[in-house]
Amino acid sequence: MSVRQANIAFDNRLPMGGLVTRYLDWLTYHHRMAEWMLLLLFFTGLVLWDRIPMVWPVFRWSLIIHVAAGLIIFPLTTGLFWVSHRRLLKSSKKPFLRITGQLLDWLLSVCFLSGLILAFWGATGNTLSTWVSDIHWVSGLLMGPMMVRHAWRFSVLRFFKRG
Amino acid sequence: MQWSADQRTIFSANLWQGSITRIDRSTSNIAQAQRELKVGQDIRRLALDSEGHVLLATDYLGDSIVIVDIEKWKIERTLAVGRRPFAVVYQPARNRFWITLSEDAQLIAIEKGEIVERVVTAETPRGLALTEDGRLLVSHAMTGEVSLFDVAQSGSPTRLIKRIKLHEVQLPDEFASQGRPRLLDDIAISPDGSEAWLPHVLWNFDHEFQFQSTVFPAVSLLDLTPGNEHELVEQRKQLFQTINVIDNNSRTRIVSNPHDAEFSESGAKVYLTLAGSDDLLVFDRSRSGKSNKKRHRRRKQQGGAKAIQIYRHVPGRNPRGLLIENNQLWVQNAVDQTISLLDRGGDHPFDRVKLEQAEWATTSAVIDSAIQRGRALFHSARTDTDPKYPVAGDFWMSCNSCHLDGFNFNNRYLVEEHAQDKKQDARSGHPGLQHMVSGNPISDFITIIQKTQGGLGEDDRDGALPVDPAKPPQSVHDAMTDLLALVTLPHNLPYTGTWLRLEDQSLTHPEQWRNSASCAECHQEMYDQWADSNHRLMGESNPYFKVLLNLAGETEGEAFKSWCLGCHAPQNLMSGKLDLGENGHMFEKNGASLYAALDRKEPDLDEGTGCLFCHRITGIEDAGGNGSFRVNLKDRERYVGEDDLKSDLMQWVSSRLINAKPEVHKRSYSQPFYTDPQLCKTCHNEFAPGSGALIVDTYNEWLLSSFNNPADPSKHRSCIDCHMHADVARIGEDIEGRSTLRGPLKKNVVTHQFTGANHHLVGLRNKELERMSIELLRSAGELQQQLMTDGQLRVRVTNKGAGHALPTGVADFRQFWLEVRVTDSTGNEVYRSGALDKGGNLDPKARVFMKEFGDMQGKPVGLLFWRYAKLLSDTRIPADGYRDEIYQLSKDVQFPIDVKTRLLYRIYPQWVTNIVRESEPDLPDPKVVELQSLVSRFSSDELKRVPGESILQNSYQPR
Repeated sequence: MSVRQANIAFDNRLPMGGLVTRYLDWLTYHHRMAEWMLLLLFFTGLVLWDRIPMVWPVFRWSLIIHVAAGLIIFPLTTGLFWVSHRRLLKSSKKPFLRITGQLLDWLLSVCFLSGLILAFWGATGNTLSTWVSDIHWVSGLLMGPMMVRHAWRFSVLRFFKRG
Repeated sequence: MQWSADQRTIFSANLWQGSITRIDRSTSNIAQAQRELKVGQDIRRLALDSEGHVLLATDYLGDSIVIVDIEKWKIERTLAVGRRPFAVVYQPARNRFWITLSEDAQLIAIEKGEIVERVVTAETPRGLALTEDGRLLVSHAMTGEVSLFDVAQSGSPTRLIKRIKLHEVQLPDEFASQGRPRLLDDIAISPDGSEAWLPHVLWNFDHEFQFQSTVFPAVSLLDLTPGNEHELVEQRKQLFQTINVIDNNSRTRIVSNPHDAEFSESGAKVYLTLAGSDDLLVFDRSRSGKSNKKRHRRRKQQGGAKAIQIYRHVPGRNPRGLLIENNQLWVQNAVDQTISLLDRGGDHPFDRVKLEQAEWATTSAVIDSAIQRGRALFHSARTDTDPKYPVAGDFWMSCNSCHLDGFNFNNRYLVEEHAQDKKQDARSGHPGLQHMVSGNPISDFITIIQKTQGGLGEDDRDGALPVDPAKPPQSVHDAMTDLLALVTLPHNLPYTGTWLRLEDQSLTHPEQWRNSASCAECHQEMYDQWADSNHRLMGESNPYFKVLLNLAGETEGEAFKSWCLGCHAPQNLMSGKLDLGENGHMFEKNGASLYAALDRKEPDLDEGTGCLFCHRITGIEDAGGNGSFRVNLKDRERYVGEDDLKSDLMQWVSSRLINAKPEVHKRSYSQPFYTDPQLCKTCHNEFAPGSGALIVDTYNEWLLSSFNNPADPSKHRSCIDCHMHADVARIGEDIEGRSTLRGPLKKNVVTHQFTGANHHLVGLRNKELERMSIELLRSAGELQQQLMTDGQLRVRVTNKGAGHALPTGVADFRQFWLEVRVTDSTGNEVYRSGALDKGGNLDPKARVFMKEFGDMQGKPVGLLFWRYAKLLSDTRIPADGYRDEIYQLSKDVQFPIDVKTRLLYRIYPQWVTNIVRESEPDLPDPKVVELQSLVSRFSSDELKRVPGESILQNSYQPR
């Protein structure tokens, strides 16, 4: 545990707003949960693609995992990380990370919002829902590889490589 | 049975045992040499590839083929191929297997475990045989045809060379061998490839069933000369005539149900299994040769092949498969699951078959179960197994002689086989039934066996004792109970009275029936249309049905209700309930009780056909009507939480999941055949169980009409085009709409109000649906009238708008009639027809368009319409047709006269409503609906026209 983390954890004198701020500061550089979450959503979403023949039990559980994780865990992990991390969009000195970060910023927004629409309004087949469904799918498909490339230096996938 | 490539091993398909057996002949200890492998449900035929590595078996009930690695003796692959795969042959030249799909009417080719070709064939392809030069022979079991396909060429599609319709003959003497070739399961080709032998039976259904004149065994022969393939009609083996063996009782020996044929290696002899009488018949072909016109008539008829021996009986029951090597002959006994070894003697005409080993091999089948005993009875035509109570008279026929493989899609051919004048006898099945079979199966099975098969004392020449169907001896009762166990198997008739069946189970749990109101969340419009329709409220909310249902139960036995409930309340029936609830919803609007049940988190075990029921019909099994479809509740794709009806949260979650990714949901509740009129036929065609009398034949009326015109889509109208259309005035046009909330805008939305002729009951709940019904009725008929030169008034009613007869359906109860009023120049009414009396009863002399059913004595059956045996009258107006009614006016009438003619309709006669109202006092009288009206003025000049000139007036001339 770093010194900074310890401060956040034990400094009871800090007001709640200060705690959140400090937590977000810390989260700016701690992406693992967020990345795992995105990977989970990417692969469970991929399984739902009509072009990939999938047996029903796998499809069934992928759908509930994708929707439940997207609605509940994603905001608490990736969502918070995103809020804290996106301040680097301007301050980063690395153009590649800035550009891919900005693209991810858009993709994440679009994908999340379209996902919310699909979950609560549905992909019921009318023109609007078909558009939303396509947007969700395209943004998700682009976001997965881009996120991996963006975070490759610290990616959880490299952890496996090292291991 | 099949040989291995080196002929050291025999493989057998063990039918209902669902297994195959490998028997190594080189080992003396057969028990050790034998290995059985369970591969499916009902394994019919086998074939091996030329290298002997792969064995392919057809699983008839499993709708699949099984590929077995012979060396490892394990299943390599099971492949779903379609409905009821039967025969299989291997074509070495192309390294492919050919398989017949008997219910799907297809021929498929399998290469390397994959289907590489599908060929649509004529109906019911069963037997297969391949000639050396690549002609594939396919026998069509229920239509008596043989197709020849050219399969010799790789790379080119399979080509039909020709289809040979086997000869049909009807003779004045019903006791002579005659009829239509049916049940062609096997084709044997002679070693020189010149001839094919096809064992079969002849159905002679043009008279009331009688065991010595209804089914005849025969073998048809085909000349296989390339380019000139044809039936050798004169050489058909009419087995009784051909055999002419006189037994100890000085009677011609009778054999039944020829099944398989096999040539000896030299071709000098042909062996034939007789699966009903459990015999083996031997033909000697050694004296056959080129036809010689001077030869004796009998020898000419036999084509030189002479029946020289009946081996009576083979050691097992229901002999089918045959295998020959040198002088050894193996016979597979299907019911006993044994293989017998016989010594065929040799090829000399005097050589005779002898038994070598009765049980050369056996399977692990449990023979002494109720189902197996029932199966033995079903297939047996033996008179000597139980001489006191034989199942058949004089070895003539078994149940399987007609009910091929039980009660399935083949039943349609029995219903349609009817060839008599319906006014003499409308039945195509069993006469003399006391309980319509399902009302008391034990008693009626006995009657059927007696009247149809000559068993159980009917034919007492061999010492059989009489049996009273109402009080059978215990042993007979037990035997019939066994037979019932077979009949009620899930793939047969689990509810006895209806052809409805659940896939892989006989009963559902009430909780399995999802409340249809839950579907309204996304399909509100469809739900609203259905909720007030007659497709929903056709059980306890239909007081007419209730009265008839109870009457059916009282007169025939409670279980007979299943016949009615199969279509009217299938969810109840499948949940094991033969009674309707007491809570009818005759006046209920918008499915209020279903919403209330949903609030209480209760399933929908309501009457009628709910969403889940119709949308989980997964297959049509066209038995000719009577609810002949399969329902599958188990195997649908259910989203997480979908079945957790008690939890609001999980219902909400599942609803979100379905909406987020609805493709699987849609696929799971929809089948391509939902637009096929065949689906409607399953319930809107109706025949009396047992007697087979066709009560309602709406489907065939449509089939023969101009509305059935798929070649011209602008004229083609199927059932749903009129009855599931959003606007009756615009039938034939597409009407845009949505079937799902926020769903896609469909070019033509199929609505679910099921507009039909019953405006009365639907009108109690929904005036809009009533209006649509009446509008549809009004679009059907057209009136014209003419005063003829002889002073007669001719009124023509034309069926211009219905793709079926007017009326159809329950045409024995519908009142569809003409009212004619004539007033003379003084304004006095001088003629009247078709009026109602003060009690609402129709003038008995009114011209009514309807069917009237009678019993065999010609007495009207009234409400007991299932007892229909003779058609007393049929005055309905056929599709595209018309009917002229002639009225004789008084010669003294003073011209000009005004004729007002009305075409009127009432859904039920007053007398029926009066009966029904005794138990349902709130039931209002059905109103009389005016469908068409025509007023004409005729002057005396009309009488001076050229006689015979037809000037029908249809112009309106209101006063």
